[in-house]
Amino acid sequence: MLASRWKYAGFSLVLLFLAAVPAVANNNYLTAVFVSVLLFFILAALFDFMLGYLNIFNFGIGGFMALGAYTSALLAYHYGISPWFGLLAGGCATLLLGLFAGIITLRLRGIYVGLTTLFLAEFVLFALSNLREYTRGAAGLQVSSLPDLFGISFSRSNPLALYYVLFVICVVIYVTLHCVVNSRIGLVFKAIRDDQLGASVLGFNVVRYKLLNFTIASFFIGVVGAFYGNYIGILVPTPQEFGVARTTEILTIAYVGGRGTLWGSLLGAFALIGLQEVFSVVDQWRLVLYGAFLVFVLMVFPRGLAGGCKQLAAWITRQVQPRR
Amino acid sequence: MVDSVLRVDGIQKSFGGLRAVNDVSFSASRGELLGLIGPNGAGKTTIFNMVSGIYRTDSGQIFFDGTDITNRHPTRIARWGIARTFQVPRTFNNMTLEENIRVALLQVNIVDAEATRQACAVLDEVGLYAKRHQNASELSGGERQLLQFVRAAVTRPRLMMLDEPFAGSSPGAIDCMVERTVALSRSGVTCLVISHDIVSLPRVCERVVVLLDGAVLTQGKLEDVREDPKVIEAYLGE
Repeated sequence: MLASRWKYAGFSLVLLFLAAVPAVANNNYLTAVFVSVLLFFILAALFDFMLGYLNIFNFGIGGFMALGAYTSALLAYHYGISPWFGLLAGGCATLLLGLFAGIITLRLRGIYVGLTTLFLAEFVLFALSNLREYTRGAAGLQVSSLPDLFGISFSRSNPLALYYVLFVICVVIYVTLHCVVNSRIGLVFKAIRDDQLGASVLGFNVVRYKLLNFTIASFFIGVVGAFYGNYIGILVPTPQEFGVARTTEILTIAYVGGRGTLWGSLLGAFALIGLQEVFSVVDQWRLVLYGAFLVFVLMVFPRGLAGGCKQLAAWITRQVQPRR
Repeated sequence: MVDSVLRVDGIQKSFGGLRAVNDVSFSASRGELLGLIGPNGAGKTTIFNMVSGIYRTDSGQIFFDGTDITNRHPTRIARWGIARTFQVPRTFNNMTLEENIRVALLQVNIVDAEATRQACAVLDEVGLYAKRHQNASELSGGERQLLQFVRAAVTRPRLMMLDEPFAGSSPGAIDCMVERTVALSRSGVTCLVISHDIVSLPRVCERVVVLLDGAVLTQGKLEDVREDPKVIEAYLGE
């Protein structure tokens, strides 16, 4: 009971921090950094939801994002559909892609799932590049801003308002994922992650649970992708934007943060995005320092920064408890 | 045969050129404690894997409560009421002991506070209560055997298949599993036990099926089988 009170207190403090700092600072640069942190945090948490809770290696997360972003943008561009609705439409499109990917891949294991999702993502990117008449391909697709709501402008000239949209999206996704992993379904996810055959002979339909996990994650990746399109304003289906490089960044944050925790991704995102900004002052050495930091974290905390925090909390608890 | 809970009828299984199980037939009645014994490579675990749906049979049939369950999916077979353990314990190692039991209780629709209460009670009965918040990976091999045993038992199976449950276990853990297996049998659960433990086996099994090179060498009461010259030869050589 005490532990859960501490957890809720910690969660509330983090929420307060994330909600207050950009508003108090009222600085466009800082807001942009916080947007990057939240974007990478929630994508890494979704990646962790699949990998850390069910060992599903989705190496095509960038392509899934692209589908969400383009669905929303194309609906607005060609049919004048509100980008607010586009957020949900982007999610629905990737949900369908996730369902399809799940049906064809989830009987496979390990690297084969990763490769199949990667090929699907590449297929999406190739399709977006080559359907130039419809998507404008490499010329880039202009994305409409989110329309005003309740008298508040959500145009790209008001980054603070966009930050709060992302903040709400992140809270909704995080709370949903947290509820799922702490429910009966989450218990089965963990059992399947630990021993697929063991879960199977207990009577759990492994493929069905994997499909559920994958489609939930795919839907939210699409929503985040749709927001991302609105935030950057122009979409180009390049590998740098939506390919393996993007997946690797997300994967790195998930691992540095700590697999199987969800909240560890926030630590990972702050550490990696924050350090990129800090190291920018040392110019060409920044990538060397950045790499050294990644190696250091994974050597010292094999379970990521979240694992390090848990170790620290356990040590403090031992010090505080009276000795018998 | 009317009362047979499990009936294995001429099953065969080959791996490449090796015939691991060759025309094996036996049956077990309700509440019976049946042992499957034989030297290494006799095909005991392969038979377990075929009954629980992990391996497909090449030919032959397996009936459970009169229903043909041959080559059905392990999930389906588990839902029919067949639980099993493995020679190398398959516990959920990154989950606590309590979670290991709670996840199994989901199969009998016991959830939330009641699941926690029952998980604690079961762990207390087998002496693992103090470790309920530890991950299963922190247990010894014998404790993990015990954990997978109780995890299978809480699903209220009608057939319990135990693959070398006493291997690597402490005398206390063996006593505990023997008592609980006998109790399960008295409550009407059929138990199939593979064991090399010649001391513990008579405490559990009334009847045994002896396997050699994938085929049934003989079957009958344990004391009769022990005196059978073919069995002595199979175990000790000429």
